[in-house]
Amino acid sequence: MGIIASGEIYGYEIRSRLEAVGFESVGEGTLYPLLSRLEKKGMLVCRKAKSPYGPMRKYYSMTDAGRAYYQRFKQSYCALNAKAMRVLGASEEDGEVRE
Amino acid sequence: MKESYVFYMDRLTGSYLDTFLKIRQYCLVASEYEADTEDRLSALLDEFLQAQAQNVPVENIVGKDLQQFCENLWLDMDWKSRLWAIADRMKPMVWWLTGMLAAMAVLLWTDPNAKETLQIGSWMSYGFLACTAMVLWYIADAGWKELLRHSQKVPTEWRQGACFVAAALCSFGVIVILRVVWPTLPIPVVPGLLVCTAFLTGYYYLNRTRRAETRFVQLPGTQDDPVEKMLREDVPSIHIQMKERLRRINQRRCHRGKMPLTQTEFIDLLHDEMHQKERWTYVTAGLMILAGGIVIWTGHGINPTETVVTVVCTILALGMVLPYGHRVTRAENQRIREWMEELEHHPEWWNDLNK
Repeated sequence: MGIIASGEIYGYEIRSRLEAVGFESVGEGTLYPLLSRLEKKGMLVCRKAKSPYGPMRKYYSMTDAGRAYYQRFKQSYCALNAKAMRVLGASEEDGEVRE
Repeated sequence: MKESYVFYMDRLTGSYLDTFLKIRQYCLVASEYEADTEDRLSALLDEFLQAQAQNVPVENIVGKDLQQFCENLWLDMDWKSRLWAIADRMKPMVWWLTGMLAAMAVLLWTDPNAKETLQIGSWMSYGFLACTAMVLWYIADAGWKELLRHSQKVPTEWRQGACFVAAALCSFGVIVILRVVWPTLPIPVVPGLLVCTAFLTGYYYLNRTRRAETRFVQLPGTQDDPVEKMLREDVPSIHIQMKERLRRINQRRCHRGKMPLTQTEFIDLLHDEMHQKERWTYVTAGLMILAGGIVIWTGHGINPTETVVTVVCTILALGMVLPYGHRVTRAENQRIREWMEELEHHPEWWNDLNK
């Protein structure tokens, strides 16, 4: 959703950006069902247009409900990540003291 | 005008084309609902074309296990669409059963002697027999479809054999039901079986384009009979078919000392052929109506009940076969017309046809 939040995008481009940041094993069998589910829940909206290669292509963009959900998710994930880093950081210091 | 992804399939080459054809076969066999398949395959084709242009391996899209990829695509299809697809396939059988039961109900209501004439003990038990036959047929058909889904190569002889066996079983089932319900039916069993088999085989033959397009897409390079091979060459690209067609026509014209066809002449030729094909459909329909009329006429004068039932059964049989034949011919011609419209907007296509 973070990738889609930046603007209208299609499936191949989503997978390319995921691979660029390190998610190399995301295949179409995973991605498109996920996009379909988000669309059914009203988080995404889909527009069909002819691609430069000929066939019809689906372009996904985020709805207002999707943006709100994404913001909530980002806040809770960042809070959780901060807590986890504090625990992991404290564990490393304890490990160093004991040594 | 809606453009199908099929127009662009011939832009794929090598492993991209092979993989896409395998996935397409799987999807078309697994799902009866063309809307689901069309959208999914169009998006997939776009990805394949982009990957081919950027030299990205096809495994980056489908992973290492193609079978698993296809299974995931199939499982992702909406369960409601699958239910609608099942209901759609059962529609002709439900109409046939409803028609027979409605005819019997009308006779029982209007003719006081119908019960004795038809020798009906409990007509509900015969309805149950008909329902059982149709459910068994559907289970066999679903099982065959499941086998196709898991097999990337289907031998031609299996398909043809299954087609004729299914047609014969259907015909035999109809005759058995009629003879059980109506022992005095003035139709001998063996000729009746042959006529019904001819009707059902004719239905499958008239519907062959739709069948080839939706169920029996083969991998390239497999051995097949000429008709099925021609149909599969139609399916990937009308353009490729027309290219080969024009090449053969121009070759014959050159041997006779004539100039190759111009674009206008080729289009006119295709229009004439399509009109002829549609005219032949009406001729076939007329012959079927004539055959039905003969059946009715031979039953005339026996008694009103038998005449009415014969008329109803004949109309139901014709009503199943004729619309499908007409629709299939129109659908095939419509695809060619759409290609011809595109040809007018893409002058470079004519140059490609003449290469």
